Amino acid sequence: MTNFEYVLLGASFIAISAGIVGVWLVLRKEALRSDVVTHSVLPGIGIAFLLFQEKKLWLLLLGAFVTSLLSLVSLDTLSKHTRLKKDTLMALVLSFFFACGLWLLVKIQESKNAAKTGLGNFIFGKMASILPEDILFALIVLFLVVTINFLTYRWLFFTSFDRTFSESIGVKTSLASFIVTFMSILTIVVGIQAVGVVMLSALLIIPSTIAIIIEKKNLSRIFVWSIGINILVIVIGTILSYSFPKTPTGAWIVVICFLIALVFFLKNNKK
Amino acid sequence: MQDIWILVVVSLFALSSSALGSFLVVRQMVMLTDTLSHSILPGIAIAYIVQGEKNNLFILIFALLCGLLIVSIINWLNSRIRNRNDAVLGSVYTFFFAVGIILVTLFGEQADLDTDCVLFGEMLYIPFDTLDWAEMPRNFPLALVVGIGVLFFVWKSFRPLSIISFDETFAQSIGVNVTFWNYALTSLVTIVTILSFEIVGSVMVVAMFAFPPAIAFLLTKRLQIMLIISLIVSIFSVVIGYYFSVWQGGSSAASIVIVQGIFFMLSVIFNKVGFINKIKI
Repeated sequence: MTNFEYVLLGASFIAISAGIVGVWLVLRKEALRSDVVTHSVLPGIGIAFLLFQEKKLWLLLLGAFVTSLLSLVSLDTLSKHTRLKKDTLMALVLSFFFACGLWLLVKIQESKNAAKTGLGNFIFGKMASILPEDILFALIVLFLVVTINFLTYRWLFFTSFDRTFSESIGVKTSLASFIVTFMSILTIVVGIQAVGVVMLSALLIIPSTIAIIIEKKNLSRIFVWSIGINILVIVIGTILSYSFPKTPTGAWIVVICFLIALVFFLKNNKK
Repeated sequence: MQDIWILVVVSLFALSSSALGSFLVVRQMVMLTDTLSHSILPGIAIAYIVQGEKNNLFILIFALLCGLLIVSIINWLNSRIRNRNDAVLGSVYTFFFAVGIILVTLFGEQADLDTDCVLFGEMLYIPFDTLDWAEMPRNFPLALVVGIGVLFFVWKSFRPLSIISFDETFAQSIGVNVTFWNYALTSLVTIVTILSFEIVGSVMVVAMFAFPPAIAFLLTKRLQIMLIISLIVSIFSVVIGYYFSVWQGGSSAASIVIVQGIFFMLSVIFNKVGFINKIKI
């Protein structure tokens, strides 16, 4: 396979995971939380790089996983223990973690380490920077997401639509929330290199919102639509960012997502 | 001398943003600055590309036009689609940001603008970019006018602003012109957001608006005192954050936000312990 085909393969793995997780996030009205997660993977990448001084993807992703989990934990703790409202807290947590990440990134760039090259890709995303071994990670995450989905589908289904009812029949809603959070962090962590920190949340939210607008009743069809739109958008975005090499993939993906969304938003109204 | 210029200009912006931010935090409107700071990027990029050099007035006009365009697109979409307001808002502003990033990466080189400016701002370049007619940074007069203007506005119209912040219906009933004050507040927030975008970068603008008022919000229950505490906190965090970045390296704008975050954590902890609440202010 050529490099381009490898990249497209990896991109579609990411697209499928994002399509599945995005639907749960939007249905559970946790879409904005994913924005916090995507911004807070950055300090983890920086810390992991400073600790191990090499650009081993799995180490960076481990760091990213830890800090994004930490950001959600601090968001929940703060909203429990202070008078501040959720949106203010989200702005605070998001900008604090992102600032830590940027500070570390500048620090690393100042330190003239030869292996530093490419860390900037994590911010806006560069699909072309994916290596064949990174695709293995995307595949593992896709496998995990699909397995978790099959095992806990009914749980997630019930708790997404009626939390009080599912609580009353003995379903553990907090565990279900944790599962969704876990899946979204996994997806975000493999997606950052390709799509970028700043715009990955759009990839999670916009295609699944379109899918929910198109198909109102059947959840499995919603999943199919969401995955389909995701793959389409990521493939076009990758091709465009290949044709204009300076531009980041994430930005193209968002632009295409929005144009597709616009068509369906307006079409939806006519019904 | 260079340090002093940077500190003065950044502090002036920090003062204006935390004064306006106090009202935003109370009214739960902080995300407005996040939306604005992301979505005005195409306007700024076009202003740079068309002009080929920095011109604050030009940037301000283009960014304002861009902001107006976004607000009207959001309103138009919201009127056509019901029940999906958050999705509309989220997709419109990331779309504009993405368009801005594409413009910057495609045409930025000829206009002295790159993605680093978008992320980190240009704080350290403040003293090197001087006016033609005086030995002072280009941003200084603007920062001074905006700073004094905002503080004067907040001081003079504190009563109507605080009344509409807590109860709009009540404010309407006692004859306060709610629409006027809302527009005044939002347009000042927009102007300060656009101007501080250049200094601290797109994502950190929201921290300048949110952190000092949030810290003050935890420490007191009175709006006047909250305003004063947040002004003091904003100055302190600018000074400490700047010297931290001089000492340790790293991005200056980011280290200001980190210092604010540490202040915030301290105030959460002390507030929990009940240390501050025992001191009667």
